[in-house]
Amino acid sequence: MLKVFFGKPGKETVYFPDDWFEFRGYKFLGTDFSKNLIMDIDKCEYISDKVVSSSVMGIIPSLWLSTGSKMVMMSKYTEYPIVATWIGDNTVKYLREISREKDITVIAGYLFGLFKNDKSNLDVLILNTGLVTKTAKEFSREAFKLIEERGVLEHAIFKS
Amino acid sequence: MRYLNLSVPEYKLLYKISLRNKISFLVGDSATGKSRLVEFISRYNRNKETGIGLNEDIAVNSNFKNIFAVESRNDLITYSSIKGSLLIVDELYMNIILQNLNIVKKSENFFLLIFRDMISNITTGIYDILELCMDKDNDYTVNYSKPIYSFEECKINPDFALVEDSGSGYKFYTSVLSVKCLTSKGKTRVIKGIYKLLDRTDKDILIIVDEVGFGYEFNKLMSYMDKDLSRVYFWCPLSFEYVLLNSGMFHMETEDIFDICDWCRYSTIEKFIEHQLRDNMRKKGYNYSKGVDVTEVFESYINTIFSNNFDNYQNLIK
Repeated sequence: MLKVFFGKPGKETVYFPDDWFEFRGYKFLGTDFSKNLIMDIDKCEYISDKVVSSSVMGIIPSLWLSTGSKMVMMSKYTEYPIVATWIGDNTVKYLREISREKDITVIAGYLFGLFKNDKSNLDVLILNTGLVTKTAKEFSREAFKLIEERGVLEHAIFKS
Repeated sequence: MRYLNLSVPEYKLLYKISLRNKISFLVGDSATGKSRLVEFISRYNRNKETGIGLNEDIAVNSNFKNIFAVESRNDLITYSSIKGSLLIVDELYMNIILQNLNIVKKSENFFLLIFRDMISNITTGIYDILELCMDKDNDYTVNYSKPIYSFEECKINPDFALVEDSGSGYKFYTSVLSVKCLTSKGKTRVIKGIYKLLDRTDKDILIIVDEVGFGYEFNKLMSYMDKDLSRVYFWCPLSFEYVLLNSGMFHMETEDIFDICDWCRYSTIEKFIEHQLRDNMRKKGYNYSKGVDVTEVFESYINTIFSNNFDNYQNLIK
């Protein structure tokens, strides 16, 4: 299930996805899932764990892959919560997919595009309230309420 | 318009960034090259400082004197005091900005913030929310910036007008518009106002907001709104003062207002526009302050104001 917490990331959150990727993430790049992911999002073909071939830039270090792709890999292969602001709307479909296999947690200070490109129903547990929303309408209404009621949410996000 | 053109021949990459206002946000999908731009700026500056690496590796053409990538609080403090600079901050370093907002606001430099999670207490214009688009130019890949939101001209026949302003603007529009005019009493209440009005009427609704201050709210509206917005029409002049400044009463070129703004004196474009209006009105023998009813002063310019902005303006005004 997809769990969303509207608020600030806790200590268990990875603040620098590049650092995580450099020291722990490379090993996940060779899986079929990751190969498809980087081909779709980054237009990059896997060559080795540390090198990919980009359709735009040619041969580049895999560290140059997008933060969004790194965050998706993190959610697929680890238990770390991921931060919404680092994932583009084009990567959200992968989060939807992963959330059908396992629990993943997204920490958000704003309404990220969970239903922007795919309006189909998805169970989302809002961790702040314990409520499970099923539709885009329910989710955005809850998110709006939480973020509006806690007007300082966005700027308090990293103060812990 | 300020610009930054950056080319990386090794990767056949070209970035073309255009910035209008002091603070802009760069948002959009993953893998569009946002973070890579910051990395190239860092490398460009390292090349310059150390002499290692050739200038041709990364070439920059810009009307900013300096372009910096901010990666620490020290970077922010140092670079924000160097005049004529553009400071670019990647989303990974957004906590530095969040914890030092005063430095950003007081600085006379330009900022490009690569944050999807926009900050509510940084004033942003609707057109200052940018995305990177990709194009091909010969064998180069060109990443150019473009506002994510744009408006189309259309004819409308509203039942209500909702005005963000509760002072001079509201008084002016109430006196002038032929439709019922309401105020949301501030930009943060506009979305709630739209919700209420959509329930209240089946006809079109005209929303009048100051474009240069409504970026955050507009982005929020576009993200959250679970109602049909097809009946909601926006008129977004830069600000109410800009409407008056552009009314034809004054002989002032307002098209390049961002370029002529003295950013050392004015922290926001709104303050500059307000000052320009006050100055120009004083020359004509009037005093202007927020809250004052200026309808009579601009009575003979009402047709010009609306004909400049609406095709079917006769229906809109009394």
